[in-house]
Amino acid sequence: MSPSPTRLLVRDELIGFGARPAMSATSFMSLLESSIASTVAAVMIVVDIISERNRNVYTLLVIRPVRRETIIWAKVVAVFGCVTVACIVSILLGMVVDAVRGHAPSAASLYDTGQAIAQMTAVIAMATAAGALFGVLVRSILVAVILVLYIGQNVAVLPLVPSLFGLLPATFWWFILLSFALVAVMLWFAGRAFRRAQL
Amino acid sequence: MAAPLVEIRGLSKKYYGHPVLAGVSFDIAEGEVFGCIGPNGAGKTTTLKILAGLITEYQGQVQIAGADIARDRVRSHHLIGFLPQGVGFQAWRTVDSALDSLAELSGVAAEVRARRIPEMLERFDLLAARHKKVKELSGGMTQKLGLIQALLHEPRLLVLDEPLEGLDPPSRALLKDVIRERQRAGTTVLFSSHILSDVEDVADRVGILNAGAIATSGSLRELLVAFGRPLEIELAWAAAPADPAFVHELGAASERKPGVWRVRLPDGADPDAAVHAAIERTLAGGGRLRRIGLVEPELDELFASYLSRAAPVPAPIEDRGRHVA
Repeated sequence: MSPSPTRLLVRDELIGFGARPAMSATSFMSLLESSIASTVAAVMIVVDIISERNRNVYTLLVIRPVRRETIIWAKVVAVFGCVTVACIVSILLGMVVDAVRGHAPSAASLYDTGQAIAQMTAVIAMATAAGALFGVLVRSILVAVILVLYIGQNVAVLPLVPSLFGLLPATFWWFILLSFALVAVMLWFAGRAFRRAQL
Repeated sequence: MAAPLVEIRGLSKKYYGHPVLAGVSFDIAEGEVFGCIGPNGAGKTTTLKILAGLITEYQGQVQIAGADIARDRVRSHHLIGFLPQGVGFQAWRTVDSALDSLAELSGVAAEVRARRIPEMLERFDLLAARHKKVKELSGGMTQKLGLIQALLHEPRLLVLDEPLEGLDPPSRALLKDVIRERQRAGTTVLFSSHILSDVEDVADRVGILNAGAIATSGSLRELLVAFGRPLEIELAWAAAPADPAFVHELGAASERKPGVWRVRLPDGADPDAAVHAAIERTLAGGGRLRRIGLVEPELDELFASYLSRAAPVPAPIEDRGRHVA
């Protein structure tokens, strides 16, 4: 009995994808992470903050002798940390797959991967901070998720704007610096808004 | 009277332009149990939330042990244990971990937490559930967990918003015992409830909050006077005295059952003096008393009478003597 055409096609596609020389596993994982991780982080934190707030979880924290803003900042650090670590592990696994396939990383590719990880980390941090800000400002999960997806995700473009207008050189370090400055500003606003929140 | 632990002056709060509190003022003495009652929307929860520091935008002054809660938030948070209405915990936590984390945030030392958490869980019959996830608990169990977190750091002021909500009768009795115990240990308790019989059981004083203001506050006896309700004493004789008619000299007396008299005292009469006179006259007449005391009105009755009154609200009571039965 001959195998089904679907099975044959799937097998061929898998072989073709794996054998494609243009994309290494490391590049593939980097691409995957940078596009998905920031969205995951932003949605996770915004849903977490709003649902916990609506269930009065923060009430029990706010009535204790702690600074209110640290409650939000702690959540940002946790979400950012977990998502970033998961992404880095995935990229490292991609490198292992490449090494097994005989493409040992060169010094130049390691440098590029390092830069990609740093940029990805900055984008995740910005998305998480934007998620925290919307989570504090909005009481509806649905509205907050829409805001995060349509506005929060575009925040990652802001550090590129000075370079696009020729105000700053388009270098990796300027991007990282501006990204984390933006993260600091968003977290300050989120903390301030939460400190003033009437729970 | 002990110095007030809680002083609230002219507390006002608006939500979207609509006044919820309009000049609430009252004191709570150290070691006192103060019950706050009122119809829905009267502002009970808002008052308690302001006291707990959850609502920070308001007019007026709130002090706990001399610390203004708006200026000295950290100090006032050290003094308070708070149970909010509809208490919630992080769903992923176990009972043990939730309590440990919250007590640690309140500054309770690790060795104290290790001892006190199992004690409290056992007291509230939750020890078997200590390793369960919080999300697996029933509503009543979650409420008890909320009470434990409020008590763990042994606060000077315990603020409980509808603490009896969702509790079964044995748990309600247990909570009332715990409140009395905490009072004996010197804790001041402020709680709101709509179960008036429970308020009556544990509160030294009751405040009626209505339309955003404390309409009146005081012991049951003081509320009785404030609402113009007559004071009554009831006496039951094991053996009647030679001249039982003396009861008519005390006030308007009626015999409810053979040997059991209820006397409505005239306006302004001192109930303690009337009880004393009744005892003296009974003994002098060769009688024997089975029981005697002031007839305390049911809080439900007082509250219903208050709500149905069309007359102006009585003035707040300044003299806050404790009631005697």
